[in-house]
Amino acid sequence: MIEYLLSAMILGLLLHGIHRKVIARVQGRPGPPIWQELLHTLKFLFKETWIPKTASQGLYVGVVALALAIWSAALILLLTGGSLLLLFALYLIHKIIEHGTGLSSGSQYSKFGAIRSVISAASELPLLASVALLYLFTGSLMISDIEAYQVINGPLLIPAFPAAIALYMVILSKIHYGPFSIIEAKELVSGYWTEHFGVWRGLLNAAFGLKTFVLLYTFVMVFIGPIGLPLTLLAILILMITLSFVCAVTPMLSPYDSVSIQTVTTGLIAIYIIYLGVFA
Amino acid sequence: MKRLHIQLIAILSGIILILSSIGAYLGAISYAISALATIIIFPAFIISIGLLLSAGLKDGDIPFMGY
Repeated sequence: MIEYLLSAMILGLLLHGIHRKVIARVQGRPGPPIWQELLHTLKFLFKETWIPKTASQGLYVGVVALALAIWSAALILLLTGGSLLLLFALYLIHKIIEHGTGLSSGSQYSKFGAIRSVISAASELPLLASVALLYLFTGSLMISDIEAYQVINGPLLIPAFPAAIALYMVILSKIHYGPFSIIEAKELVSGYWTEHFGVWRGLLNAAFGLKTFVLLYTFVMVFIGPIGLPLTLLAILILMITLSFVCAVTPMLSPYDSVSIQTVTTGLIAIYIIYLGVFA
Repeated sequence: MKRLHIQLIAILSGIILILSSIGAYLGAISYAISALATIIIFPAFIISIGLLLSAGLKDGDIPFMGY
C-alpha cells in the first residue's frame, strides 16, 4: 500500500509542476521545469528545521502528520471503492489542517490565513451539492457502486454535469494560484503555511501533492468511471491542465467574492437537485 | 529527540509498512487492518525520514526543537 501512497505523492507533485508550467506558458513566461515541485519538496527536506518559539509545538507538528494521514486515508478509500461521504468527511478534516497550520505558529500572516480558511469553508458547499446530485442519479454513495453504474449507463459527466461543475469548483478552490486560493494569498506572504519551513514545509507540500492527486482521481472515478490506469492518468492530466488555464486567466478573488461565487453555485445546483427530485 | 530515536522510528515504521503491504497481498492480514496500519504509521515514517535528512551530521541532537 505504501507503494500507492508514494506513487500518488510523486504524481501529485509532478501535477503541481505541470500546473505552474501551464500557468507560466499561458502568461507568456517560460516557467519552471515540471519536476520543480518535486525538487522543491526535496530541498525543504534537507533544510535546517526547528519549531518557532511562539508556536504550539504539538499542533505545529501534528497538522503535518494529520495532513499526511487524511490524504493517505482518502487515497486508500478511493482505491477500495469506499463511501463518498467518508471522502467528504476527510475533506472536512483538511479544513482543520488549514486552521491548525495557520494558528499553530503564532505568526500574524498565518493567523490571517487561518481566518480566511474559516471564510473559505464555503468551498465545502459545492461538494455537498455534488454528492447529493450523484446520489440522486446512482442511488448510492459508494464509489464502487458509482463506477458500476457508469459501466452500465455510461459516464456521469454529461447527465450529472452540474455535479461535475460543483466538484470542479471544489478542486479549483484547493489548487495553488487559483481564484479561490484566498488562504495563501501573496498579501499574507504564503498565508496559512508561511511559518512552516524546512521538513514541515516539505512534508506539507508532499501531503498537498497527494491531496491534488486524490481530488483529481476522485473526479475521474466519479464522473468518467473505470477506464484503466493509462487513460485515468491521461484524464487526470487533462483535468489538471484545464484547471491551470482557469488559474492562469483568472485573478485571485477577494474573500467576499470567493464566498459569494461558491454559495451562488451551490444555490443553483440545489435548485437543480430540487427540480430533479420533485419534477423529473 | 536524539538521532538514534528518529532512526529507530524510521526503521520500525518502514518495516511495519512493508510487512503490512506484503501481508495484505498474500492474504495473511486483512486489507482493512493493513490500510489502518498504513494510515497511522505512514506519517511517522515520512516525518522521521524528513527529520533524518534535515539533521546535520556533525551534531548529536536533531532537529533543534523548542527554540
